[in-house]
Amino acid sequence: MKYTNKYAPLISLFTFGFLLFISTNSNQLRAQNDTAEAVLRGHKKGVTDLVFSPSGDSIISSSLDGTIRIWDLLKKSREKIINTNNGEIYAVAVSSNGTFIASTGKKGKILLTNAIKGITEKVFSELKGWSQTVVFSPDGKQIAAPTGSGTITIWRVDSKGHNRIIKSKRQPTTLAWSPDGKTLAGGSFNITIWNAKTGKVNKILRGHSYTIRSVSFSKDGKFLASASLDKTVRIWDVEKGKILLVLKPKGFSRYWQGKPITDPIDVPILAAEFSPDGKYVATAGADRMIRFWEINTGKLIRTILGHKMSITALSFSPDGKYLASSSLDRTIRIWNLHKETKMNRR
Amino acid sequence: MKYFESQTDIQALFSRTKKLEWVVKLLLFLWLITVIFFVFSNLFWQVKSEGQPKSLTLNRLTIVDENGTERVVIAGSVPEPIILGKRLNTGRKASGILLLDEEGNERSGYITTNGYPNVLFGLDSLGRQQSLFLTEPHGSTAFWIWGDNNNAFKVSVGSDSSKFEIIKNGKASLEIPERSKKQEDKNEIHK
Repeated sequence: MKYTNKYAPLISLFTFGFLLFISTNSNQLRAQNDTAEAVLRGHKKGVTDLVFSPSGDSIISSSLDGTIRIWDLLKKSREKIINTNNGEIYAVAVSSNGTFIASTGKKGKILLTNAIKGITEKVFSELKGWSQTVVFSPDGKQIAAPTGSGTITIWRVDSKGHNRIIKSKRQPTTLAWSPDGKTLAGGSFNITIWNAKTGKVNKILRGHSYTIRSVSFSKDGKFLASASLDKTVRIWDVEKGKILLVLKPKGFSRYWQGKPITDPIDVPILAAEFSPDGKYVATAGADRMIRFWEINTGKLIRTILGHKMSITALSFSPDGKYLASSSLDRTIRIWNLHKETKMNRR
Repeated sequence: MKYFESQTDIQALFSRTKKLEWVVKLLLFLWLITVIFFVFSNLFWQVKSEGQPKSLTLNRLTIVDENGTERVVIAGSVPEPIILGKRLNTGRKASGILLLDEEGNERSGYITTNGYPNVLFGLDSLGRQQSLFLTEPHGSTAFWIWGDNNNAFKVSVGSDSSKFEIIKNGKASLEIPERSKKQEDKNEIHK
């Protein structure tokens, strides 16, 4: 039987158009023509924070647009958008089992959101002002955030038992929980390390001359990295309370007539993260570059360009193969660290 | 006269003429309504445009760039400063004009503060105030410039004294008038 259809060209044109529509709309995770493995676009304003899920198959991001977004990296489907009704969102954290997301925003609420259902389950605090940071304990059972008037509050996720209050001279702009769960580090102008159970101050690490925007522990908890608006990153020996390294990233990346150029100036640094193997620390900030430093030598070993505005946060995938960065340019970029091509290796 | 031979034909013609008369009347009526509508609507817009306010009263005017980023804010109560993605919790209550850069960072403000009514003009780098020109309500005026490594330049004029200072690495390298011994001793006690 001879198959003929006079509408065949029309049908194929429609099918082609439909497929084109699907490919451009349903797949947000698509490789761009730059150095990043993937560029996630969707936030309507600057992205303020991000974190890889513990399984490494999704990224959770927060933005000044008031949303939290969950980007599924395996399904490559459209991101899940959670409207928080909490104003600008400044920070997100994820529990160790990946079930809950904690966030803080301008309306002064600390929210606990179910990552699977995408709904807010608890509002932990109605602050007079707002906090800029929130963290989960390593076991995922507690949340800590500054609550104003010189206090940090620790809530239990299951709401069983009392909340605990830790007194702090200054309102921390950033918090980090040590991997063993015993201590809590808070950065403002100095870094204070508290006993997370008793609230007693273990140590005060002095050295930065201006606001600290990020503190993070190495996986073994022995080291702490801090990034500051004073344009330096410091690596600390937590037990001795001493500075091991002072990193001074130099160079400000910008685009001039479509081409990237680097000005030899130093600018505030907003993020410093240890690689999972503890050998490197990645830094980024208003310089719009990601830099990798070797901890043993303090040498700058690699820089990555790509973001067009300040980089606000960094997060390594649990296996250390990927690094995700968030930026005020409204994008999240995922970098394949095993891919040497296109990356600027020093 | 083939077509009007019968009485029926004449009656049909008469009926059609009547109908046409009605159509003409209806069209005339609609035309009149349209004319009246245009005349009145014109009058209405004229009245409305004459009634437009000569002044605009509002609490906040925000100018955004082509990407939707806030670049200029004029407000009766300006927002707290936002720096590199995080809004500071300073408790500042002020009114005036703010300038923000392409990333949305506050870089300059020309404001009057509530409570203690200073008027000030400041220029900021990313994350830091670098210069400030301030006049207090009783008349004292100061101008400060700060740099990295605790370098600064300060000029202040009050009702009974004036001061000029150049500070290098946190220490006064030039101070006019020089600090008196008495004042230095007093400062030492305070330390």
